[in-house]
Amino acid sequence: MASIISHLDVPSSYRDQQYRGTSNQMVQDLSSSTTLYIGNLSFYTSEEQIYELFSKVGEIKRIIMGLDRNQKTPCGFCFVEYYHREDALDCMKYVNSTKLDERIIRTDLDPGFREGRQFGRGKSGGQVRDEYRPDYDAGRGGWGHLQRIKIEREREMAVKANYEASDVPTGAEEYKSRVNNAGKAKRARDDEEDDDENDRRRQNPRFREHDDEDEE
Amino acid sequence: SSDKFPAADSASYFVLQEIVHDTVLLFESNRKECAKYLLGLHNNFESGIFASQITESSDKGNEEQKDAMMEQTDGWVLSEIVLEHVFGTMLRLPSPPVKQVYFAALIIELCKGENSSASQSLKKAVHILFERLADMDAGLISRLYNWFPHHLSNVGFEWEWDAWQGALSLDPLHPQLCFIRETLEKEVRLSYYDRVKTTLPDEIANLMASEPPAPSQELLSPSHPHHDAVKQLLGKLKMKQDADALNDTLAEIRKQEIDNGMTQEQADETAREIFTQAVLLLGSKSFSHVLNVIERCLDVLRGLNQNPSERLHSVRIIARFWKSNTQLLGILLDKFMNYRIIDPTSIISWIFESEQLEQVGRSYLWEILHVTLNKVINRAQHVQTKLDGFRDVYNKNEVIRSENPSAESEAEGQQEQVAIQTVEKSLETVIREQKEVFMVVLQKFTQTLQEMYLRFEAGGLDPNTDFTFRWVNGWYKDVLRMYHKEISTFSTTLESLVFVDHLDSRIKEPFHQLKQLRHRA
Repeated sequence: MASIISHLDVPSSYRDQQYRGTSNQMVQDLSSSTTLYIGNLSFYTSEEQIYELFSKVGEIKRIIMGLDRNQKTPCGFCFVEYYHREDALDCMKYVNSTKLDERIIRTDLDPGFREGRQFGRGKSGGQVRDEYRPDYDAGRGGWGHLQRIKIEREREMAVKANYEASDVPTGAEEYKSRVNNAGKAKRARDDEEDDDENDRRRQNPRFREHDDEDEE
Repeated sequence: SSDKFPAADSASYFVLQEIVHDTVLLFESNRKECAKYLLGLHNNFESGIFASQITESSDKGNEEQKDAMMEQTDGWVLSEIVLEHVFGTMLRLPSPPVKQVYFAALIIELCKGENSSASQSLKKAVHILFERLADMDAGLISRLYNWFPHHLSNVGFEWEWDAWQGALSLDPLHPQLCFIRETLEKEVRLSYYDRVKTTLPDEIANLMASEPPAPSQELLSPSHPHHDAVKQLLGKLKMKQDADALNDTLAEIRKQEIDNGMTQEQADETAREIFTQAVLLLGSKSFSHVLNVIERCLDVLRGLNQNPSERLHSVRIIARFWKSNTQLLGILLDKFMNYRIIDPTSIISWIFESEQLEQVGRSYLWEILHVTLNKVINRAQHVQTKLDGFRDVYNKNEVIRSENPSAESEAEGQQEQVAIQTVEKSLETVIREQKEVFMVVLQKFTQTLQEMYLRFEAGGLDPNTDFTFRWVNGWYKDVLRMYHKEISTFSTTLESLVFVDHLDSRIKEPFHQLKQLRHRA
């Protein structure tokens, strides 16, 4: 009877590449799981907001916020674990593709939380999707990382073209040569260091020292 | 009824009701298909019965053209009929056939897309329901003020608040005012304080709390009588020192109190106050933080909560600390129950204290009550499931063992039997706990209502004119209805202990109706 429509309470086609186990085990885990992956969250969505929405479906066992691997700040995803599988399935039917914090969120059945899965796997520390994202998303740090690097480089070149003087006033020759040497040396040092690290420090206002008070 | 809508006593109304009701349930696993099908129902009937749908895509400002379009199409407005029956199913008593959140998702789906007449119909429906709140059952009012903010959070919190300005002059416990107040509180939970405030006209925004939710700062006040001990305690907690170190500081606090002339009981109370507040303060950063702190101090916390009055005191401390954040209060009471630091009975006793009953029009009290009752039910179910599992395994193994009997397999069988008996004992305990909890709840309700009936009648007044009474009575009926299955399992005991002869018959009436419900089910 129900075969005339497709059911929404099924896992997506996503398969975790870092899953430890055989594909049979993954299928088994998925078919008994009470855990959901939640994606497309704003970086500023709080645990309490997630709790409020997902409690409507059933009693929540725990919520694990997804964190930037380096900064340990929320990076736009989380896991919600229920006591009963039925509640996770109901989320797929009733909450997936609705809004939380005024963003359309995505829910997906997850094989289960393991230590380490709470961290973003993107090169810069956040989620992979934020590395390559071409659009501007105010709730997810603005530009995607590669896009931001591209924009910054373009801006640097534009600044150089506009402000670098080709005619040097008399008496300033000495100064110019000193500046040039300093610039050259700095560029050499930059070439050796991790480009991403520098870019992140410069552009991401949320970058800060590891908070001592954070729990393990 | 009009030419826009079938008469409520007509066969057409009944047929359409059945169609919508069945579709809503059959397509429950795919709300998008459901919405599409519902809004396309007119395709299944002769043309001319239903008015054709109007799109708002262009000419938003052109009222004349829109009016002309509306006149062009005769017939019933399909989206109104659909929403009427969707709400009818959502507000079904004793309980809806599907989780509430399905209806929220379905309605959001209906209001999407090119067919905007559903959005207009929804506004009309909400206004009609708002008018009827005054006489509505408490349980249904709560379903609506849970649904509405969830819906608004999906449509940018846009709503015609000005239409409800009239409600602002009503009694503070009037259902319409309570509805608005709870809607705003839940909007804040789903979003955040400042955001919600920007979406409201000033007069409505006044119903919000004056400030965003925040933890109590009482403990950190420099004028705190035990300021030094508090600092020491917070330091030890931050450094994750063990129970002995923490108890040392508590012992010092108690000693100071007694030196100042306090009794042992008062000294214990002070120690409990300070320690519990310290745990809550350290955990006030986020929900995960507080769980971590609680887990580290479980032994000390349990040590401070060894009897009913101590546990009730803890509930009061937590409630005062998180007075402004009812969401966190509910979550914490739930987790403290999980860790068995406090028990369901202490929470129920707290709910029915007169200070809390003044808040009877607020949702959070009854949410906490439901969470507490659900907890004892789930515990019993959990053990029952475990027992069923053990019995299943045993029976299967017995079949295998009977084919190859041996001393070893017999010992194995006996071990399994022992395990089963342990779980059976544990089931007896949780079921007994469950009954005790329900008995306490019903005792509190009936006693409170009895007291109110006597008080009003002594003053020659009809209690139904008083909103406090109406809310208490409403929640009472709601609890009987929601938990009729569990309550029926020991209704004889309840008859003799709670629903006694001298209890006002108006209080016993819903209980008797509940028994009818049981027999039919």
